Amino acid sequence: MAQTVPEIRKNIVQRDGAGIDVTAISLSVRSGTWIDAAHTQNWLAGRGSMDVPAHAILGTIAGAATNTFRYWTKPRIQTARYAYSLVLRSTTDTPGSASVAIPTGGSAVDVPVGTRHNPVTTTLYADRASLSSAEAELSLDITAPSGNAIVVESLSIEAVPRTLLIVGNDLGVDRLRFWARQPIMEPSLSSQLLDRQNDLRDACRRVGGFQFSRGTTSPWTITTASPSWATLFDDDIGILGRLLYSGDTTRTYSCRVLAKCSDGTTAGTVRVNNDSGTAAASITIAAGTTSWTWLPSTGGAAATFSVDAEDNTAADGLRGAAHDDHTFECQRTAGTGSVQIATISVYEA
Amino acid sequence: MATSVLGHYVRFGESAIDEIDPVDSGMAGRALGNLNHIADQYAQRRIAWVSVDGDTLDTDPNDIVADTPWRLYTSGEFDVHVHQTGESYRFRLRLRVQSGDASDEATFSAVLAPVGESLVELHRAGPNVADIAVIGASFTWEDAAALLYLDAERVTAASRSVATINEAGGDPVAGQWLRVQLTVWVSVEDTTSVASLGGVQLDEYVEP
Repeated sequence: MAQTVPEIRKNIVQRDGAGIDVTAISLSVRSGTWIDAAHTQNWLAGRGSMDVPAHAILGTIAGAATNTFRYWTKPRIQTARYAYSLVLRSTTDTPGSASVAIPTGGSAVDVPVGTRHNPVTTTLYADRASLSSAEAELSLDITAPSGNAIVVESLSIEAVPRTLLIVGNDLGVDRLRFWARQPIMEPSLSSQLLDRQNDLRDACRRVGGFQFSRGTTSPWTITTASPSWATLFDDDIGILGRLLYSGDTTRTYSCRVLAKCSDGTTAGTVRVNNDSGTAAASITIAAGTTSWTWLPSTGGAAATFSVDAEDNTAADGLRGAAHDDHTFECQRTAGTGSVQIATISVYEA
Repeated sequence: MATSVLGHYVRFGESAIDEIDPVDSGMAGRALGNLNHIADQYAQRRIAWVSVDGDTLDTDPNDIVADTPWRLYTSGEFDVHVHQTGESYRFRLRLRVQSGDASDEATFSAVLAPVGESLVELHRAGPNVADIAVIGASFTWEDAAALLYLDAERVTAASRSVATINEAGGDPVAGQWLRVQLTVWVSVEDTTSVASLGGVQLDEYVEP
Protein backbone atom coordinates (compact mmCIF):
# COMPACT_ATOMS: atom_id res chain seq x y z
CA MET A 1 0.00 0.00 0.00
CA ALA A 2 1.36 3.37 -0.96
CA GLN A 3 -0.52 5.80 1.23
CA THR A 4 2.28 8.33 1.21
CA VAL A 5 1.74 11.89 2.33
CA PRO A 6 2.83 14.52 -0.21
CA GLU A 7 4.53 17.74 0.85
CA ILE A 8 2.66 19.88 -1.66
CA ARG A 9 -1.05 19.74 -2.40
CA LYS A 10 -2.46 19.25 -5.87
CA ASN A 11 -4.98 21.56 -7.44
CA ILE A 12 -7.17 18.89 -9.02
CA VAL A 13 -8.05 19.89 -12.57
CA GLN A 14 -11.79 20.11 -12.86
CA ARG A 15 -12.05 21.99 -16.15
CA ASP A 16 -9.88 21.39 -19.19
CA GLY A 17 -8.40 24.17 -21.29
CA ALA A 18 -11.72 24.65 -23.08
CA GLY A 19 -13.57 24.98 -19.80
CA ILE A 20 -15.22 21.57 -20.06
CA ASP A 21 -15.77 19.49 -16.94
CA VAL A 22 -13.22 16.67 -17.09
CA THR A 23 -15.81 14.28 -15.62
CA ALA A 24 -18.49 15.15 -18.18
CA ILE A 25 -20.45 12.36 -19.81
CA SER A 26 -18.83 11.04 -23.02
CA LEU A 27 -15.34 12.10 -22.01
CA SER A 28 -12.70 9.58 -21.16
CA VAL A 29 -11.82 9.50 -17.52
CA ARG A 30 -8.26 10.72 -17.20
CA SER A 31 -6.19 8.59 -14.90
CA GLY A 32 -4.48 11.77 -13.84
CA THR A 33 -7.77 13.02 -12.43
CA TRP A 34 -8.00 10.24 -9.89
CA ILE A 35 -4.26 10.13 -9.21
CA ASP A 36 -4.47 13.82 -8.31
CA ALA A 37 -7.53 13.18 -6.19
CA ALA A 38 -5.68 10.46 -4.27
CA HIS A 39 -2.67 12.75 -3.89
CA THR A 40 -4.83 15.56 -2.48
CA GLN A 41 -6.65 13.26 -0.10
CA ASN A 42 -3.38 11.97 1.34
CA TRP A 43 -2.10 15.53 1.70
CA LEU A 44 -5.25 16.43 3.60
CA ALA A 45 -5.15 13.33 5.75
CA GLY A 46 -1.51 13.48 6.75
CA ARG A 47 -0.30 17.07 6.64
CA GLY A 48 -0.66 18.05 10.30
CA SER A 49 -2.56 20.80 12.05
CA MET A 50 -2.06 23.83 14.31
CA ASP A 51 -3.71 22.66 17.49
CA VAL A 52 -2.49 25.57 19.65
CA PRO A 53 -1.71 28.63 17.54
CA ALA A 54 1.37 30.56 18.60
CA HIS A 55 0.62 33.05 21.34
CA ALA A 56 2.67 35.43 23.48
CA ILE A 57 1.94 34.80 27.14
CA LEU A 58 4.36 37.49 28.40
CA GLY A 59 3.62 37.16 32.10
CA THR A 60 6.87 36.76 34.03
CA ILE A 61 7.99 33.42 35.44
CA ALA A 62 10.25 34.30 38.37
CA GLY A 63 13.69 32.75 38.67
CA ALA A 64 13.47 29.06 39.64
CA ALA A 65 9.66 29.21 39.61
CA THR A 66 7.48 26.87 37.57
CA ASN A 67 4.33 27.65 35.64
CA THR A 68 2.09 24.97 34.15
CA PHE A 69 0.32 25.61 30.86
CA ARG A 70 -2.65 23.41 29.95
CA TYR A 71 -4.76 23.46 26.78
CA TRP A 72 -7.83 21.56 25.66
CA THR A 73 -8.23 20.50 22.06
CA LYS A 74 -9.93 18.11 19.68
CA PRO A 75 -7.00 16.52 17.85
CA ARG A 76 -7.05 14.91 14.44
CA ILE A 77 -6.99 11.13 14.55
CA GLN A 78 -3.92 11.08 12.30
CA THR A 79 -1.83 13.00 14.83
CA ALA A 80 0.93 10.78 16.18
CA ARG A 81 3.51 13.37 17.25
CA TYR A 82 3.25 16.93 18.49
CA ALA A 83 5.82 19.69 18.11
CA TYR A 84 5.93 22.20 20.97
CA SER A 85 7.60 25.37 19.70
CA LEU A 86 8.89 27.81 22.32
CA VAL A 87 10.55 31.21 22.41
CA LEU A 88 11.71 31.96 25.96
CA ARG A 89 13.33 35.29 26.75
CA SER A 90 15.13 36.58 29.82
CA THR A 91 13.62 39.70 31.40
CA THR A 92 17.14 40.94 32.16
CA ASP A 93 18.68 39.97 28.85
CA THR A 94 20.70 37.23 30.54
CA PRO A 95 21.08 34.09 28.41
CA GLY A 96 20.40 30.90 30.27
CA SER A 97 18.62 27.58 30.28
CA ALA A 98 15.07 26.88 31.39
CA SER A 99 13.57 23.50 32.11
CA VAL A 100 10.53 22.21 30.21
CA ALA A 101 8.52 19.07 30.95
CA ILE A 102 5.94 17.64 28.54
CA PRO A 103 3.31 16.78 29.73
CA THR A 104 3.05 18.49 33.10
CA GLY A 105 4.94 16.42 35.65
CA GLY A 106 6.88 14.57 32.98
CA SER A 107 10.62 14.33 32.42
CA ALA A 108 12.22 17.74 31.97
CA VAL A 109 14.68 18.87 29.33
CA ASP A 110 16.76 22.02 29.11
CA VAL A 111 15.59 24.75 26.75
CA PRO A 112 17.73 27.80 25.95
CA VAL A 113 16.60 31.23 27.09
CA GLY A 114 17.32 34.03 24.66
CA THR A 115 17.61 37.79 24.92
CA ARG A 116 15.90 40.79 23.36
CA HIS A 117 18.22 40.87 20.38
CA ASN A 118 18.89 37.16 20.19
CA PRO A 119 15.65 35.22 20.53
CA VAL A 120 16.07 31.47 20.57
CA THR A 121 13.43 29.18 19.08
CA THR A 122 13.25 25.65 20.39
CA THR A 123 11.07 22.77 19.25
CA LEU A 124 10.37 19.77 21.49
CA TYR A 125 8.54 16.67 20.29
CA ALA A 126 6.01 14.63 22.26
CA ASP A 127 4.33 11.47 20.99
CA ARG A 128 0.75 10.41 21.61
CA ALA A 129 0.12 7.12 23.34
CA SER A 130 -2.65 6.30 20.86
CA LEU A 131 -4.19 7.81 17.76
CA SER A 132 -7.59 9.23 18.55
CA SER A 133 -9.80 12.19 17.73
CA ALA A 134 -11.19 12.26 21.26
CA GLU A 135 -10.83 15.62 22.96
CA ALA A 136 -7.79 15.74 25.18
CA GLU A 137 -5.47 17.98 27.14
CA LEU A 138 -2.02 19.16 26.06
CA SER A 139 0.21 20.45 28.84
CA LEU A 140 3.73 21.46 29.80
CA ASP A 141 5.68 22.86 32.74
CA ILE A 142 8.18 25.67 32.25
CA THR A 143 10.70 26.33 35.02
CA ALA A 144 12.79 29.49 34.83
CA PRO A 145 16.53 29.37 35.52
CA SER A 146 17.57 30.24 39.03
CA GLY A 147 18.01 33.98 39.44
CA ASN A 148 16.80 34.65 35.88
CA ALA A 149 13.15 35.55 35.37
CA ILE A 150 11.77 34.79 31.92
CA VAL A 151 8.79 35.52 29.71
CA VAL A 152 7.20 33.16 27.21
CA GLU A 153 7.35 35.19 24.02
CA SER A 154 5.75 32.39 22.04
CA LEU A 155 4.26 28.99 22.67
CA SER A 156 2.54 26.80 20.07
CA ILE A 157 1.64 23.16 19.66
CA GLU A 158 1.44 21.66 16.19
CA ALA A 159 0.70 18.19 14.89
CA VAL A 160 3.73 16.97 12.96
CA PRO A 161 2.94 15.72 9.43
CA ARG A 162 2.99 12.02 8.74
CA THR A 163 4.94 10.47 5.88
CA LEU A 164 2.74 7.39 5.54
CA LEU A 165 -0.89 6.72 6.31
CA ILE A 166 -1.21 3.18 7.50
CA VAL A 167 -4.50 2.27 9.12
CA GLY A 168 -7.98 2.48 7.62
CA ASN A 169 -9.24 5.37 9.63
CA ASP A 170 -6.25 7.51 8.69
CA LEU A 171 -8.38 8.37 5.63
CA GLY A 172 -5.49 7.66 3.31
CA VAL A 173 -5.63 6.39 -0.28
CA ASP A 174 -3.34 3.92 -2.02
CA ARG A 175 -2.22 6.15 -4.87
CA LEU A 176 -0.79 3.24 -6.88
CA ARG A 177 -4.32 1.90 -7.35
CA PHE A 178 -5.04 4.82 -9.69
CA TRP A 179 -1.97 4.63 -11.85
CA ALA A 180 -2.19 4.83 -15.62
CA ARG A 181 -3.00 1.68 -17.61
CA GLN A 182 -4.59 -0.23 -14.81
CA PRO A 183 -8.28 -0.54 -14.05
CA ILE A 184 -9.65 1.53 -11.19
CA MET A 185 -11.32 -1.04 -8.97
CA GLU A 186 -14.42 -0.38 -6.91
CA PRO A 187 -12.64 -0.74 -3.54
CA SER A 188 -10.22 1.97 -4.59
CA LEU A 189 -12.67 4.49 -5.99
CA SER A 190 -15.67 4.00 -3.74
CA SER A 191 -14.17 2.75 -0.51
CA GLN A 192 -11.02 4.87 -0.39
CA LEU A 193 -12.18 8.07 -2.07
CA LEU A 194 -15.91 8.57 -2.36
CA ASP A 195 -16.94 6.99 0.94
CA ARG A 196 -14.43 9.11 2.85
CA GLN A 197 -15.56 12.51 1.63
CA ASN A 198 -17.64 13.32 4.71
CA ASP A 199 -14.99 11.93 7.06
CA LEU A 200 -12.40 14.18 5.47
CA ARG A 201 -14.73 17.14 5.78
CA ASP A 202 -15.02 16.46 9.51
CA ALA A 203 -11.34 15.69 10.06
CA CYS A 204 -9.76 18.58 8.20
CA ARG A 205 -10.69 21.27 10.66
CA ARG A 206 -8.96 24.50 11.60
CA VAL A 207 -8.16 22.80 14.87
CA GLY A 208 -6.88 25.77 16.87
CA GLY A 209 -9.31 28.69 17.00
CA PHE A 210 -7.95 30.67 19.96
CA GLN A 211 -5.84 29.14 22.69
CA PHE A 212 -4.40 31.20 25.55
CA SER A 213 -3.01 30.00 28.85
CA ARG A 214 -1.66 32.22 31.63
CA GLY A 215 -0.58 29.13 33.48
CA THR A 216 -1.87 27.73 36.74
CA THR A 217 0.47 29.86 38.86
CA SER A 218 -0.45 33.17 37.21
CA PRO A 219 -4.13 32.88 36.34
CA TRP A 220 -6.66 35.61 35.86
CA THR A 221 -7.98 36.32 39.37
CA ILE A 222 -11.41 37.89 39.19
CA THR A 223 -13.35 39.47 42.04
CA THR A 224 -15.67 41.57 39.88
CA ALA A 225 -19.13 40.77 41.12
CA SER A 226 -22.29 40.27 39.12
CA PRO A 227 -23.84 42.16 37.35
CA SER A 228 -20.49 43.69 36.32
CA TRP A 229 -18.05 41.86 34.09
CA ALA A 230 -14.26 41.90 33.94
CA THR A 231 -12.69 41.56 30.51
CA LEU A 232 -9.92 38.98 30.41
CA PHE A 233 -7.92 40.49 27.57
CA ASP A 234 -6.91 44.07 26.73
CA ASP A 235 -8.90 43.86 23.50
CA ASP A 236 -11.07 41.60 21.37
CA ILE A 237 -9.74 38.79 19.20
CA GLY A 238 -11.03 37.90 15.75
CA ILE A 239 -11.99 34.33 14.89
CA LEU A 240 -12.96 33.15 11.39
CA GLY A 241 -14.13 29.63 10.64
CA ARG A 242 -14.21 27.45 7.55
CA LEU A 243 -16.77 27.92 4.84
CA LEU A 244 -18.21 24.49 4.06
CA TYR A 245 -21.64 24.56 2.43
CA SER A 246 -23.20 26.96 -0.03
CA GLY A 247 -24.91 29.72 1.91
CA ASP A 248 -22.90 29.16 5.10
CA THR A 249 -22.32 32.34 7.06
CA THR A 250 -21.18 30.90 10.39
CA ARG A 251 -19.22 27.99 11.80
CA THR A 252 -19.52 26.44 15.26
CA TYR A 253 -16.58 26.51 17.64
CA SER A 254 -16.17 24.77 20.97
CA CYS A 255 -14.93 26.44 24.13
CA ARG A 256 -13.70 25.20 27.49
CA VAL A 257 -11.89 27.02 30.29
CA LEU A 258 -9.54 25.78 33.00
CA ALA A 259 -10.86 27.37 36.15
CA LYS A 260 -11.30 27.18 39.90
CA CYS A 261 -12.53 29.30 42.78
CA SER A 262 -10.62 30.37 45.87
CA ASP A 263 -13.09 28.83 48.30
CA GLY A 264 -16.08 26.54 48.44
CA THR A 265 -18.75 29.24 48.40
CA THR A 266 -17.47 31.35 45.53
CA ALA A 267 -18.81 30.78 42.02
CA GLY A 268 -18.45 32.50 38.69
CA THR A 269 -19.22 32.65 35.00
CA VAL A 270 -17.06 33.07 31.91
CA ARG A 271 -18.74 34.30 28.76
CA VAL A 272 -17.83 35.00 25.16
CA ASN A 273 -19.39 37.97 23.42
CA ASN A 274 -19.24 38.55 19.72
CA ASP A 275 -19.23 41.80 17.75
CA SER A 276 -22.92 42.37 18.13
CA GLY A 277 -22.67 42.20 21.90
CA THR A 278 -24.72 39.05 22.00
CA ALA A 279 -23.55 36.56 24.60
CA ALA A 280 -22.32 33.79 22.41
CA ALA A 281 -21.44 31.22 25.07
CA SER A 282 -21.53 31.09 28.83
CA ILE A 283 -19.62 28.71 31.11
CA THR A 284 -20.52 28.26 34.77
CA ILE A 285 -17.87 27.76 37.45
CA ALA A 286 -19.90 26.25 40.23
CA ALA A 287 -19.30 26.78 43.92
CA GLY A 288 -17.12 23.99 45.19
CA THR A 289 -14.80 24.05 42.18
CA THR A 290 -11.67 24.56 44.27
CA SER A 291 -9.19 22.63 42.14
CA TRP A 292 -8.28 23.23 38.51
CA THR A 293 -11.12 21.88 36.41
CA TRP A 294 -11.95 21.98 32.72
CA LEU A 295 -15.40 23.44 32.26
CA PRO A 296 -17.84 22.55 30.91
CA SER A 297 -16.94 19.17 32.30
CA THR A 298 -14.92 17.02 29.91
CA GLY A 299 -17.41 14.26 30.61
CA GLY A 300 -19.88 16.17 28.49
CA ALA A 301 -20.13 18.55 25.59
CA ALA A 302 -18.17 21.77 25.35
CA ALA A 303 -19.80 25.17 25.27
CA THR A 304 -20.28 26.27 21.69
CA PHE A 305 -20.67 29.53 19.88
CA SER A 306 -20.84 30.73 16.31
CA VAL A 307 -18.12 32.60 14.48
CA ASP A 308 -18.27 34.05 11.01
CA ALA A 309 -17.50 31.62 8.22
CA GLU A 310 -14.85 32.79 5.82
CA ASP A 311 -16.09 34.51 2.67
CA ASN A 312 -14.03 32.82 -0.01
CA THR A 313 -15.19 35.34 -2.60
CA ALA A 314 -13.55 38.20 -0.70
CA ALA A 315 -9.95 39.17 -1.37
CA ASP A 316 -9.14 38.89 2.32
CA GLY A 317 -11.71 36.29 3.29
CA LEU A 318 -13.46 38.53 5.82
CA ARG A 319 -17.22 38.25 5.90
CA GLY A 320 -18.84 41.63 5.49
CA ALA A 321 -15.36 43.18 5.19
CA ALA A 322 -14.96 42.99 8.96
CA HIS A 323 -13.28 40.77 11.51
CA ASP A 324 -15.58 38.78 13.75
CA ASP A 325 -14.20 40.04 17.05
CA HIS A 326 -14.94 38.28 20.31
CA THR A 327 -14.65 39.44 23.92
CA PHE A 328 -13.92 37.09 26.81
CA GLU A 329 -15.27 38.14 30.20
CA CYS A 330 -15.68 36.76 33.70
CA GLN A 331 -17.73 37.64 36.78
CA ARG A 332 -18.15 36.34 40.30
CA THR A 333 -21.70 35.21 40.83
CA ALA A 334 -21.58 34.04 44.44
CA GLY A 335 -19.40 34.31 47.53
CA THR A 336 -16.65 36.76 48.39
CA GLY A 337 -13.56 35.01 47.12
CA SER A 338 -12.00 35.04 43.66
CA VAL A 339 -12.62 33.20 40.42
CA GLN A 340 -9.42 32.04 38.74
CA ILE A 341 -9.05 31.27 35.05
CA ALA A 342 -5.84 29.65 33.81
CA THR A 343 -6.73 28.86 30.18
CA ILE A 344 -9.20 29.76 27.46
CA SER A 345 -9.43 27.04 24.80
CA VAL A 346 -11.41 27.61 21.61
CA TYR A 347 -11.29 24.98 18.86
CA GLU A 348 -13.35 24.00 15.85
CA ALA A 349 -16.17 21.70 16.87
CA MET B 1 -6.32 30.91 -6.09
CA ALA B 2 -9.36 28.97 -4.94
CA THR B 3 -9.41 25.65 -6.69
CA SER B 4 -12.93 24.29 -6.34
CA VAL B 5 -15.23 25.02 -9.26
CA LEU B 6 -18.25 25.24 -6.98
CA GLY B 7 -16.52 27.06 -4.11
CA HIS B 8 -18.21 25.00 -1.44
CA TYR B 9 -18.60 21.44 -0.18
CA VAL B 10 -21.38 19.28 -1.57
CA ARG B 11 -22.71 16.70 0.84
CA PHE B 12 -22.27 13.06 0.07
CA GLY B 13 -24.67 10.48 1.39
CA GLU B 14 -23.63 9.23 4.81
CA SER B 15 -24.06 5.59 3.88
CA ALA B 16 -21.30 3.81 2.02
CA ILE B 17 -21.44 3.27 -1.71
CA ASP B 18 -22.02 -0.42 -2.49
CA GLU B 19 -20.29 -2.39 -5.24
CA ILE B 20 -23.40 -2.33 -7.40
CA ASP B 21 -24.15 1.37 -6.92
CA PRO B 22 -23.52 3.44 -10.03
CA VAL B 23 -20.92 6.19 -9.89
CA ASP B 24 -22.03 8.85 -12.31
CA SER B 25 -20.11 11.77 -13.68
CA GLY B 26 -21.94 14.17 -11.40
CA MET B 27 -20.77 12.29 -8.34
CA ALA B 28 -17.26 12.23 -9.72
CA GLY B 29 -17.28 15.94 -10.33
CA ARG B 30 -18.60 16.65 -6.83
CA ALA B 31 -15.89 14.47 -5.30
CA LEU B 32 -13.13 16.38 -7.05
CA GLY B 33 -14.60 19.73 -6.15
CA ASN B 34 -15.01 18.67 -2.55
CA LEU B 35 -11.39 17.64 -2.25
CA ASN B 36 -10.25 20.93 -3.72
CA HIS B 37 -12.54 22.90 -1.42
CA ILE B 38 -11.56 21.02 1.73
CA ALA B 39 -7.92 21.61 0.84
CA ASP B 40 -8.56 25.33 0.29
CA GLN B 41 -10.37 25.58 3.61
CA TYR B 42 -7.69 23.60 5.43
CA ALA B 43 -5.89 26.89 5.93
CA GLN B 44 -4.77 26.94 9.57
CA ARG B 45 -4.65 29.71 12.16
CA ARG B 46 -0.93 30.03 12.86
CA ILE B 47 -0.75 32.89 15.40
CA ALA B 48 -3.45 34.35 17.64
CA TRP B 49 -2.93 36.39 20.79
CA VAL B 50 -3.89 39.64 22.42
CA SER B 51 -2.25 41.13 25.48
CA VAL B 52 -3.39 40.69 29.06
CA ASP B 53 -3.12 43.24 31.88
CA GLY B 54 -1.12 45.60 29.70
CA ASP B 55 1.72 43.10 29.18
CA THR B 56 2.80 44.23 25.73
CA LEU B 57 6.01 44.18 23.71
CA ASP B 58 7.51 47.69 23.87
CA THR B 59 10.47 49.51 22.46
CA ASP B 60 13.28 50.45 24.83
CA PRO B 61 14.13 54.16 24.47
CA ASN B 62 17.63 53.45 25.80
CA ASP B 63 18.33 50.88 23.14
CA ILE B 64 16.40 51.72 19.98
CA VAL B 65 17.89 53.94 17.26
CA ALA B 66 15.63 56.19 15.20
CA ASP B 67 14.58 54.86 11.80
CA THR B 68 16.34 51.55 12.44
CA PRO B 69 14.47 48.23 12.69
CA TRP B 70 14.23 46.98 16.28
CA ARG B 71 12.97 43.48 17.06
CA LEU B 72 9.74 43.38 19.02
CA TYR B 73 8.40 39.86 18.68
CA THR B 74 9.32 36.47 17.31
CA SER B 75 6.89 33.59 17.12
CA GLY B 76 7.74 29.94 17.36
CA GLU B 77 8.15 27.96 14.14
CA PHE B 78 5.21 26.65 12.19
CA ASP B 79 4.37 24.90 8.93
CA VAL B 80 2.90 26.58 5.86
CA HIS B 81 0.75 24.91 3.24
CA VAL B 82 2.02 24.96 -0.33
CA HIS B 83 0.15 25.09 -3.62
CA GLN B 84 1.00 23.04 -6.68
CA THR B 85 2.65 26.21 -8.04
CA GLY B 86 5.27 25.98 -5.33
CA GLU B 87 4.04 29.13 -3.60
CA SER B 88 2.64 29.02 -0.09
CA TYR B 89 -0.92 29.68 0.91
CA ARG B 90 -1.56 33.36 1.53
CA PHE B 91 -1.64 34.81 5.04
CA ARG B 92 -4.01 37.36 6.45
CA LEU B 93 -2.10 39.48 9.01
CA ARG B 94 -3.48 41.72 11.74
CA LEU B 95 -1.38 43.55 14.32
CA ARG B 96 -2.52 45.42 17.43
CA VAL B 97 -0.16 48.33 17.67
CA GLN B 98 0.47 51.88 18.81
CA SER B 99 3.28 54.36 18.13
CA GLY B 100 3.25 55.70 21.70
CA ASP B 101 2.61 59.28 20.68
CA ALA B 102 -0.20 61.25 19.04
CA SER B 103 2.10 62.74 16.43
CA ASP B 104 5.08 60.39 16.04
CA GLU B 105 4.92 57.57 13.54
CA ALA B 106 6.06 53.98 14.07
CA THR B 107 6.34 51.46 11.26
CA PHE B 108 5.83 47.83 12.17
CA SER B 109 7.32 45.31 9.73
CA ALA B 110 6.16 41.72 9.92
CA VAL B 111 8.44 39.17 8.27
CA LEU B 112 7.60 35.55 7.51
CA ALA B 113 10.92 33.69 7.23
CA PRO B 114 12.93 30.72 8.47
CA VAL B 115 14.77 31.03 11.77
CA GLY B 116 17.67 33.45 11.58
CA GLU B 117 16.69 34.96 8.23
CA SER B 118 14.21 37.58 9.35
CA LEU B 119 16.45 40.64 9.16
CA VAL B 120 17.78 39.73 5.73
CA GLU B 121 14.25 39.10 4.49
CA LEU B 122 13.13 42.42 5.97
CA HIS B 123 15.60 44.21 3.73
CA ARG B 124 14.75 42.05 0.69
CA ALA B 125 11.17 43.31 1.09
CA GLY B 126 9.55 40.40 -0.71
CA PRO B 127 5.93 39.18 -0.62
CA ASN B 128 6.68 37.72 2.83
CA VAL B 129 7.03 41.18 4.38
CA ALA B 130 4.26 43.56 5.41
CA ASP B 131 4.65 47.10 6.73
CA ILE B 132 2.03 48.78 8.91
CA ALA B 133 2.58 52.42 9.85
CA VAL B 134 0.62 53.99 12.69
CA ILE B 135 0.46 57.27 14.54
CA GLY B 136 -1.31 57.22 17.88
CA ALA B 137 -0.94 56.56 21.58
CA SER B 138 -3.82 54.09 21.77
CA PHE B 139 -3.80 50.52 20.56
CA THR B 140 -5.67 49.69 17.38
CA TRP B 141 -5.94 46.50 15.36
CA GLU B 142 -4.43 47.13 11.92
CA ASP B 143 -4.70 44.89 8.87
CA ALA B 144 -1.79 44.41 6.50
CA ALA B 145 -2.63 45.94 3.13
CA ALA B 146 -1.86 42.73 1.24
CA LEU B 147 -1.79 39.02 1.98
CA LEU B 148 1.68 37.71 2.82
CA TYR B 149 3.10 34.58 1.25
CA LEU B 150 6.31 32.73 0.49
CA ASP B 151 7.23 32.50 -3.18
CA ALA B 152 8.65 29.26 -4.54
CA GLU B 153 12.24 30.23 -3.78
CA ARG B 154 11.40 31.04 -0.17
CA VAL B 155 9.35 27.88 0.22
CA THR B 156 12.37 25.85 -0.82
CA ALA B 157 14.57 27.75 1.65
CA ALA B 158 12.14 26.96 4.46
CA SER B 159 12.11 23.20 3.94
CA ARG B 160 13.57 21.13 6.78
CA SER B 161 13.95 17.45 7.49
CA VAL B 162 12.26 16.51 10.75
CA ALA B 163 11.74 13.24 12.58
CA THR B 164 8.15 12.11 12.66
CA ILE B 165 6.33 8.88 13.45
CA ASN B 166 3.46 7.23 11.58
CA GLU B 167 1.81 5.31 14.41
CA ALA B 168 1.72 5.30 18.18
CA GLY B 169 5.04 3.92 19.36
CA GLY B 170 6.36 3.85 15.82
CA ASP B 171 9.99 4.28 14.82
CA PRO B 172 11.03 7.79 13.83
CA VAL B 173 11.22 8.46 10.11
CA ALA B 174 12.49 11.51 8.25
CA GLY B 175 9.87 13.80 6.80
CA GLN B 176 10.01 17.16 5.06
CA TRP B 177 8.34 20.05 6.85
CA LEU B 178 8.38 23.75 6.27
CA ARG B 179 9.50 25.79 9.26
CA VAL B 180 8.98 29.52 9.33
CA GLN B 181 8.31 32.08 12.03
CA LEU B 182 6.86 35.55 12.12
CA THR B 183 9.09 38.34 13.40
CA VAL B 184 7.75 41.83 14.01
CA TRP B 185 10.23 44.69 13.77
CA VAL B 186 9.49 48.33 14.52
CA SER B 187 11.09 51.53 13.28
CA VAL B 188 10.33 54.81 15.06
CA GLU B 189 10.76 58.48 14.25
CA ASP B 190 11.29 59.55 17.83
CA THR B 191 13.02 57.11 20.14
CA THR B 192 11.45 58.67 23.22
CA SER B 193 8.01 57.50 22.09
CA VAL B 194 7.46 53.93 23.21
CA ALA B 195 5.95 51.93 20.34
CA SER B 196 4.17 48.75 21.32
CA LEU B 197 2.79 45.50 19.97
CA GLY B 198 -0.20 44.10 21.84
CA GLY B 199 -1.58 41.37 19.60
CA VAL B 200 -1.06 39.35 16.45
CA GLN B 201 -3.38 37.37 14.21
CA LEU B 202 -1.89 35.36 11.33
CA ASP B 203 -4.26 33.14 9.38
CA GLU B 204 -3.65 31.10 6.23
CA TYR B 205 -6.07 31.81 3.41
CA VAL B 206 -6.67 30.71 -0.18
CA GLU B 207 -7.89 33.77 -1.98
CA PRO B 208 -10.55 33.67 -4.71
